[in-house]
Amino acid sequence: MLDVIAGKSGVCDRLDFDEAKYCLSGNSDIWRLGRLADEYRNRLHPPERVTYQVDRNINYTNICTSGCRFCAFSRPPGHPEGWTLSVDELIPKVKENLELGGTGILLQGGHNPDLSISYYIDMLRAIKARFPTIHIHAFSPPEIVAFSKFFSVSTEDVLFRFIEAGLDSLPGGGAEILVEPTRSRIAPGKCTGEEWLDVMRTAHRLGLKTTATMVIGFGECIDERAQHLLKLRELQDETGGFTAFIPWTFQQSKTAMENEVEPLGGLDYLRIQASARLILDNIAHHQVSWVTQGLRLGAVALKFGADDFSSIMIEENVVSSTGAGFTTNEVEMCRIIQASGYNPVKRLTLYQNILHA
Amino acid sequence: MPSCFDEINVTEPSLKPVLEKVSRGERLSRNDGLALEHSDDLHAICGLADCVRKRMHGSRVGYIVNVHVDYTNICSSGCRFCAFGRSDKDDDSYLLNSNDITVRIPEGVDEIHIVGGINPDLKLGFFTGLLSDLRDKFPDAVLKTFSAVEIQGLARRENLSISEVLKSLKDAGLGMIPGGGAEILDPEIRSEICPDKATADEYIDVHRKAHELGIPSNTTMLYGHIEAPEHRIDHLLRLRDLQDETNGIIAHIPLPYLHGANELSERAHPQSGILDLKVMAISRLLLDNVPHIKSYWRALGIRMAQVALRAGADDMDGTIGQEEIMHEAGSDAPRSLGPDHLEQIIKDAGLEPYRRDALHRPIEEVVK
Ligand code: SF4
Ligand code: SF4
Repeated sequence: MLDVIAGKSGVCDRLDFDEAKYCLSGNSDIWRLGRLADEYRNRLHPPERVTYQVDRNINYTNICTSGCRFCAFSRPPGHPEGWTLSVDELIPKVKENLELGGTGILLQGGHNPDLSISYYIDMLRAIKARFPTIHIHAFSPPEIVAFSKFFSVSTEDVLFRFIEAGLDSLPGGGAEILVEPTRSRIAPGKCTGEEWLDVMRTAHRLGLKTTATMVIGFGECIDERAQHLLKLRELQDETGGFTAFIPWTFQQSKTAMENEVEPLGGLDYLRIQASARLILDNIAHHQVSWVTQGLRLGAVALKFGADDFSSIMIEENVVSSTGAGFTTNEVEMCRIIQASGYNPVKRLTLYQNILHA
Repeated sequence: MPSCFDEINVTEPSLKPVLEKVSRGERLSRNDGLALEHSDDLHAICGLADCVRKRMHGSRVGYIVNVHVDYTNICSSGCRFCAFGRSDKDDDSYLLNSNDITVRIPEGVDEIHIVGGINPDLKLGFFTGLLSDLRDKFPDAVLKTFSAVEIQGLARRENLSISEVLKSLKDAGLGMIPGGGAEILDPEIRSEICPDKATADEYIDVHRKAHELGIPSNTTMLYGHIEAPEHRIDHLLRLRDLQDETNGIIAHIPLPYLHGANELSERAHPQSGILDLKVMAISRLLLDNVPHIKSYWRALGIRMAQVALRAGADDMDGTIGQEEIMHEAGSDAPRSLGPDHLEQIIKDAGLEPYRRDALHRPIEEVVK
């Protein structure tokens, strides 16, 4: 079947559901699949170029009503280990990020019912007032849906008011697996897959660019993985608002699911990276997830369809609380990109400074 | 039915003759090795090594239930990539006696892997005493102990020949020699990274003498620091020549240099996993006479070790109780893995796990 897929992975003739499943399944040869993804990546982007970003991930609260079973970061309301950053505590972190060469911040947090809409608005305004050039990439769709419930306003209104206050783009987190039955099993308190897609659709309509993600390894089946990717492809056809896609494998340590599912290996990661590149033919950039996979394996993903090394991530509470926090600095990251045979190019959050082929 | 090799699509002309030779089962030359090293075609190189692994071993991948013990960190060698060795004056230096060691070894292991620093105070009696104690307490385990470098150091201290030392160790229970200490078998590189260690010739010589006495061994290569591709190829060819001569090498283990808390880190840089996979694949392709290539998860990390099973490796090493040397040099892998977990990793790679002994013989009763 890879021969058929090799003939296909053009732009007009796309992979259908069965072909998507074949790529995602263990039956397809990993090196041939990787080669196809690599070739497709090289048609879209200069083969020698690998982009990366320097930004900071700031988590503003760990208090969350959602209780996702795979989350090691959040605490329920009232828990002694719960915390929320004030705007005054946030500002120095943003400043530090700029000083370290960061061009953007990624701002995400739990669904904290004690925060009012003005907390967010004030936060966005204060950041933009102090640092007008910084790109604010903030609030994944589950947060937007939770805010809409907490504040009894539509998701569109939430987004609209945030844009006015300085929001520049939306991160694609919280997608996990967008389809049932896995989604309700792992994240019963989180927005549904349809709601996630809907927030993205609305954001794109309002002119926000967003990224998209996928996490595998919750014990979901291959069908669900294929459906997740095809749903993203469909929405991208409709709106064109996704700039980048980032897949990774679930890091179970210290989560409630630790003893429930086996951790996935490196082959599963490379397979999802390559399959996604072939299936999501309409999302320009595919990022490696070195934070979860380590720099060495992250670099291998560059040969499996990825064209972007993601970001330095000066702080990453959600992943590092599962104990999988790999850290690096810009020099080290560039060296690894070079050692992998590529030319590192620093980009802005939405690739504004990167020319497209 | 097209063969595995027909499916490989080589993009670089320099790799075409290599593909043809490998698919016909012919030996690769030094130039072929260099062509592989200088190629960027990771997919073809690893695909080719995967086909060779399959031709040699089908879908079977071995693992062992074993334990590692480092008996001393006191070492006079001062290798620049090492964060483990200490002077005997350091507060955290240690030496374990036979009793300390046996209590660290769980029942039911099939292999006991013991290595340590070049401790100038230790005499032959320490090593033979330890081996015979272990043989008494764990008669079913293969004693895979003391690298070539330790054996060479001991022979020098005792003013004995390598063969004499090996004979005494064998009589006391030594079953096999682990592969450590090879680093890069090149005098210039050694003078930069481990000037006071046994030389390349001495490393080869200990292995040759061991093989002559019927003691099999593993070999290693520490890559990704300051060596050039030529050094890696010549290293592998030296091992291949030795194997032609003696046929005593059971498995070869590529070891990534881990950037971190060691002196060499100022000069050597963190590496890409692309190198890990290329070195694994090239090891499989060049070492046509060495039966097994090991994906050592303790150094590669579990994820990368799994990928390496598709890049020429046919073995995952073992469950490993403890591993001081690697751990201190910056590995982020856990200290041990259960057999179930190892089996799962192998199965997830689409391969069939089998539990083996130190000589890679299947332990039949546990093979399903
Ligand atoms: S993953 Fe996000 S939404 Fe789910 S519990 Fe954790 S912080 Fe809350
Ligand atoms: S690598 Fe071995 S021989 Fe070298 S300093 Fe460390 S313990 Fe000593």
